[in-house]
Amino acid sequence: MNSPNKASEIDRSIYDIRNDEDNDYRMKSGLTSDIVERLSAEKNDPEWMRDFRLRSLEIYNEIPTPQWGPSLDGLDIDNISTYVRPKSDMKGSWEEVPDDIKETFERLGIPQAEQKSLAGVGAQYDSELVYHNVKDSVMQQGVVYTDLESALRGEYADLIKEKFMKLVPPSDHKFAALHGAVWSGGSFVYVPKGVHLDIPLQSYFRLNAKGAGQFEHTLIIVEDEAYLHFIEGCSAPKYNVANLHAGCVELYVGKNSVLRYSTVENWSKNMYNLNTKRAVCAEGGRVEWVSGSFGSHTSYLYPMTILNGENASVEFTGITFAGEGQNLDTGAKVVHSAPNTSSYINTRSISKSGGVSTFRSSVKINKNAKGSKASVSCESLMLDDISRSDTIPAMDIRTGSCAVGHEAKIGRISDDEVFYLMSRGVSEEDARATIVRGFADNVSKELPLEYAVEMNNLISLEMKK
Amino acid sequence: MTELRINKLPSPTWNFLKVNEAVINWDTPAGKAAVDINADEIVSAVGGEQTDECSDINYAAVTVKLRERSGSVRINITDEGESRAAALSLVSEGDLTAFLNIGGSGSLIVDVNAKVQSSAKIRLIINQTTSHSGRLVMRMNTDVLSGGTFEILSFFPGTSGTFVDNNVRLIGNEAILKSKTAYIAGEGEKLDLNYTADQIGKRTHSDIKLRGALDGTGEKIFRGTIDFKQGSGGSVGSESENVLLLSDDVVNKTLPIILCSEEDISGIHGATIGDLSDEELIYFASRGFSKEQVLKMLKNSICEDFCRDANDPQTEELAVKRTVSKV
Repeated sequence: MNSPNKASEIDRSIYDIRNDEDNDYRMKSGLTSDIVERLSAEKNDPEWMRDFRLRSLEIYNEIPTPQWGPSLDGLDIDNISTYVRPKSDMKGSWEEVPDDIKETFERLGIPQAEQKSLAGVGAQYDSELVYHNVKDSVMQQGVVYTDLESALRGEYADLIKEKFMKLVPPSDHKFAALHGAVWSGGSFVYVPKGVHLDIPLQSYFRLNAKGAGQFEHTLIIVEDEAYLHFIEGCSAPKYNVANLHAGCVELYVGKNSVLRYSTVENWSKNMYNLNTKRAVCAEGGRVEWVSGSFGSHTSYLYPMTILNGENASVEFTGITFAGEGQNLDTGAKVVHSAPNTSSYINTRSISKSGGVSTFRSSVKINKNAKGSKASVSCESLMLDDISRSDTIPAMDIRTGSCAVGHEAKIGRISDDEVFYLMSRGVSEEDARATIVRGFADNVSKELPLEYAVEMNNLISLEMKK
Repeated sequence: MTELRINKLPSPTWNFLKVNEAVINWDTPAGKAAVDINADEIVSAVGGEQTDECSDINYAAVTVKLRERSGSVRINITDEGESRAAALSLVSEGDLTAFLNIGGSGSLIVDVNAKVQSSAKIRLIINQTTSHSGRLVMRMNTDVLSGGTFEILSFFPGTSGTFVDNNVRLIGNEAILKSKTAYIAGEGEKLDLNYTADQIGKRTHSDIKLRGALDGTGEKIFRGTIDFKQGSGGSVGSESENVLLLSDDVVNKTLPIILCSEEDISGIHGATIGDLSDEELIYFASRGFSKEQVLKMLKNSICEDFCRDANDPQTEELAVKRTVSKV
């Protein structure tokens, strides 16, 4: 994780490095049953997975493109290569990773962060993991952190077959079906009962190939009375053609366990980010989502939590910064399906230079969720009059025994605040950037220091444009 | 039977929520609704009929105009137990108060078009006295010009289906919308509301408030959209809803939406949805009130709020009578 201390030290080029495409294999563009079968053969899938992929493709072809969100007209699946295998298989040591790929991750600060503050790291380059490692002390506690494909063929094969795409079935929406058909890469994490992992695990996803898609699958199972903090990062160099990210995250949180899932998303601004994240939480369990969305051309991103056990809870903290050419539709969904569950959604969004930011949420309280509480708070900041900011929250309440609160505000930077800072010698540009960073404080204070610094620097970068 | 598609959300959301529009089967209106008009001398109020060219439906038509000063008009519309339709046009260059009482036990469509001219005002008080079995579709479009004020007070005490699509365009600078809605939906009743305030002029102001109670298997959807258009600098908009849930079989959907294409605005929305807390019930119990009495009082208070704001004895009498029969 790169952690410069001042905005002036930020080097945008760390995200924009493009390596020459020196792939081992690149699938031809488009999406057909032949392509899916070839991909399945390349992955050496078990038979059930091959059948699953083909069924998903059928569902993909049946489901229409969503009409309620940002336009997807610029995304043509016929121009997307769904599988690009880098010239390296997965290594357990950075020294073994090819130099150009290793240098990319070094510039992004991943190996350095691994040494300083992480319990394990997975690094995916295009469609495959090129590096995966976990500290011995973590393994000794029985924690499993590996690539999903190894897990699919190993000791946990039956568990993965039982859980894979059960929370997010391919029929959920068009891009879940796409994911089911062409998924590749991603991580499997298993935290045994009672294990409290003090330091986080991290997966970093880098998409280098032009006109390609990345479809990694993350499956995390946290057993009862356990704790895990999982961090996800992503970036890509910018191209003049559309790239696609349609990953999937499935989280199973056991009784009285806590799973914190943090993301700083900085895809390039030609990326369609159609990612699906979902958690199910057992009795007394808790999910904490921390989400920063800065990159992408177009995003549809609404992490969903199903509170299935009594006293389960979720907190979603998010920030979205939409700059020039970006249309970021983000938010969260919660389903209360057990008594005395609670949810808190707290988001900020910023729109600048023609960017479009939409906060979209859904809180559903089912009939059996008596005594539940939900609170939604969203604030939006408009930095000019050519941008757009919408808030579209929905609450669907099916029991009388509950308490639901919602508040939202939309407005601009106060002239008084800018004037106050300028009267103390701060330039107007820095004053506005300082105020915006303060506005984003709800997320930055929830992130580990290095990531909070990166997030603040991303805001500073956007403010300087 | 006709399929009506109304209450379309200006900015749609997930289809699984089933809130993007209301699709209802409706008996094709057999003729015009019965209308009774009573206006001050200064108000021009003319009754008649019109035929919709597309659907060939015959509407009772009422045109109300106020050219200056202040005046009021009282309009009763009823479906007489059949499927009927009425169209109402309101134009004010002064300060017009319109009391609109809507009753019946059949299926009634009421279309309202209103225009508030510069610096003028329309105060529209809608009191629904439709019986439990009756159904109502109201489609309202209002333009408010510079310095104009549109104030709308509504009371919907519950029917088997009430659908209200209320679109207000604050076109002129400093145009104002004040909207207050009171509702009760009980066993087998459904209320479906779609309110939109388009803030187009500079320094416009919108304030949308709702307060209601759901009981039995009562269902309610409220879609409220404040849309700050580009160029609406200096505008302010707020919407809030307070929903009291009195049964475990109710269905409440609330969508308080803000759309914004302008930097220099201030928009807020809030919603509070829930039941009576144990502390509140203990407080009332300590003063000798049973839970049933408290719930009855709360439902009555929704009607009382409306009557206080309407400040009109005739409206109050009708609203109280309807509420008492229900509560």
